[in-house]
Amino acid sequence: MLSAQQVEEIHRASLKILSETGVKVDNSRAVEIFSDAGATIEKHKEKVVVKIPAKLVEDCIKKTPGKVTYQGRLEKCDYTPAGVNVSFTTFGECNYIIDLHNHKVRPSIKKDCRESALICDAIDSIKVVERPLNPSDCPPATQTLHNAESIFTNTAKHAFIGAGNVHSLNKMNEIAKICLGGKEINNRKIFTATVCPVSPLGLGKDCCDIIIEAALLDIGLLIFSMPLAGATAPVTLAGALVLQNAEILSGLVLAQLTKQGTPCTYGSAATIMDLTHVDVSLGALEMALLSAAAARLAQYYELPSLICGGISDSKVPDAQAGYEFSYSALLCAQAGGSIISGLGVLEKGITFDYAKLMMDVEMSNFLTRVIEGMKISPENLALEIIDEVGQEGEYLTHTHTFDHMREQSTVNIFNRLKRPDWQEEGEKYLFEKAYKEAENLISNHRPDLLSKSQLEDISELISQYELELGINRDEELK
Amino acid sequence: MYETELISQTVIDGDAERVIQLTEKALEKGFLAEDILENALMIGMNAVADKFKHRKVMIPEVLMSTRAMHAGMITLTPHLQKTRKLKKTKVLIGTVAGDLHDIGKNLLKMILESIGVEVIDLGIDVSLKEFIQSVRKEKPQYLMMSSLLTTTMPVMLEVIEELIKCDMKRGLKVVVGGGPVSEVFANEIGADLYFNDPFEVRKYFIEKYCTG
Ligand code: B12
Repeated sequence: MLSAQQVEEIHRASLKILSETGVKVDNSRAVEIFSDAGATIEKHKEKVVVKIPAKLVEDCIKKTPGKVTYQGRLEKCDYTPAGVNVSFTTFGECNYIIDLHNHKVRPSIKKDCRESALICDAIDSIKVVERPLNPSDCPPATQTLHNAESIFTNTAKHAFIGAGNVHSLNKMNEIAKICLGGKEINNRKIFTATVCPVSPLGLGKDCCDIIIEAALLDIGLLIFSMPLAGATAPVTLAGALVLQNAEILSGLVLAQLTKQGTPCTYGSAATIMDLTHVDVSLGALEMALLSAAAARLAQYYELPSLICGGISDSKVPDAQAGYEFSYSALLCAQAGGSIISGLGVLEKGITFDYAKLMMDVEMSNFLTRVIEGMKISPENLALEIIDEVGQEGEYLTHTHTFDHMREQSTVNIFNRLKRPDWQEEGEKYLFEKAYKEAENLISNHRPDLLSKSQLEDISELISQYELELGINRDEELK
Repeated sequence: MYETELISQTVIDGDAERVIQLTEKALEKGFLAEDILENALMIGMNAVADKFKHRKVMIPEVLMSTRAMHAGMITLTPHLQKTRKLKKTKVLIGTVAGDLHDIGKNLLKMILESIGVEVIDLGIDVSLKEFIQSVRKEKPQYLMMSSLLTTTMPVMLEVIEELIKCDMKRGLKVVVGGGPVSEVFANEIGADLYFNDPFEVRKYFIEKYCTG
């Protein structure tokens, strides 16, 4: 991917953008924070541009924790990315889902949010949950809260959620506290707040509000930028990469200036605007390249990263979806992204599909093994055993085989059957098995549940908030 | 004949300067403005739109052509009867409150401007109040709202309700669009028109104001 020298070059270019071009900041409180720390503030007609000196940026990078533990509701669910560790998760939030039963696409509802959280809980290799779906049957103003409820109550794993605005963030935090059984007892942080800078070079009002408030509440942030090369960023990938880097750093600076030590996850959703189709492409090879490069930058800054990988532009869980997942997820994994986000996602990021989820999970397990490579050690070289068996024996019954056979790769839904056996089992295509497997997990998995009173408290909190907002749920448009 | 072909080719090439020169020359030579519009500018632009539809050209090329077309239109305007109506058409456009997505909206704006429609862009995160005040001030024939988030779609309904309440909806066509917005949703909230593609909007305007 990028050489050490190229990484340096991108870094220096980003500092130049931040100090000379500056970032548009649409939030007076944030402007004040930047200003107090020594940034230059330029007021134009309707916009305020903040120019951040290189030294300030570099100081803030140093203050950002390198080691982050994404805490679950239960300690056993904690995830701390380290070294070559990669993990995979979903991508959010999709507006549509391919119905598990009739395989037709439809808008997602709260039930889908619950079930997708449940299945993420069931799958061991998913370490953190990025909210996969949007509850379109809930009032728009509180959809993010209904989503948080669906996730927190169906999995004890750490969640990444966008709050939308600071009020929802505070409510979300209250919901998290209920899940933990009251703030005094437990100070775990079970979610990370996702914020998006707006390319090119903009920090919006809500984005700043959330960064500031999350930092004050000790909630970690995912600073998730999405420049589109050719539309909101230079069409050349290096230009898009450096723009994204500057945007992420500007968010990080605001977080550290608000409260030093706020965990920040480096988030990359950079890709292209396909100028022929006039739409984004998330299966594009450019997204894979940009994500992998972003992973390198995050490593340079010693930050954990969440990068997009494995999303497909296909509408169905077909060969295109499989190819697009495999090559890009592999590249991202090789580049060492801490969390690779894209499991189960089709149609350029707007449709979630259980078959793709199960297929992707199987593939991601392969990838995790592939990047570990093979270990060369005396035990593994097995010279003594080779000598012992010589030219005539076999290894099937050797103790060395017994000792190591569980290390072999195996399949869950991929097919390694002989053709006659495959025919006997009904000549199933992969996606059919994948849907079946998802159905099984959803009906049989039992997560660590919250108590009845906790569930009631959460639902009461949301209803109360809706009342305050003047939302009458029965009157809502579907 | 040769003149008009050259102009349409120049529109296809996206060379605005040259389109202006050629259009002026054609007028001097006695070509009718209507003739130049229909048989030169439009033909060129339609060819580009068609190529675009078949993915033979990329959007920056289309936008260069729309710019060239726009330049030709401006040159013709003093001489045109037919497009007077289009010239007088004013569109107010904005992305609704809470929503910062504007790529689709900006595209629509550029394409409308290319055919001579006056577009007033309220930008992103436009509140109910801003929409109402601007409609009151600008008195457009069309109000176009874009939303890319399920959480911000309801703002469109609020705007329509408020327009009706303030008796400002008459004579004003509300057009909605953006990722999650569907025809069904548009009908439910009482919008007048829905398009999922800016080129459809362009077609609608041309058919309504420029032909016949
Ligand atoms: C680019 C993008 C962003 C960029 C926006 C940059 C910008 N300047 O616009 C950034 C990174 C800032 C962003 C932020 C967020 N985004 Co966003 N974003 C997208 C993305 C990838 C592409 C949208 C796009 O530009 N498409 C290309 C244009 C050309 O298409 P279009 O806008 O649909 O427009 C076409 C038509 O609809 C039509 N049209 C559009 N408007 C109008 C209006 C009228 C009147 C008419 C007639 C036609 C029309 O014309 C266009 C051309 O054909 C979509 C996913 C996707 N694949 O669509 C998510 C998406 C819309 N975003 C999403 C989310 C969740 C967010 C965030 C909330 C993320 C977060 N923090 O968690 C924030 C919200 C910020 C905010 N308050 O608005 C979700 C929405 C989920 C939902 N609940 O609805 C999506 C679906 C992605 C996902 N799966 O998560 N996003």
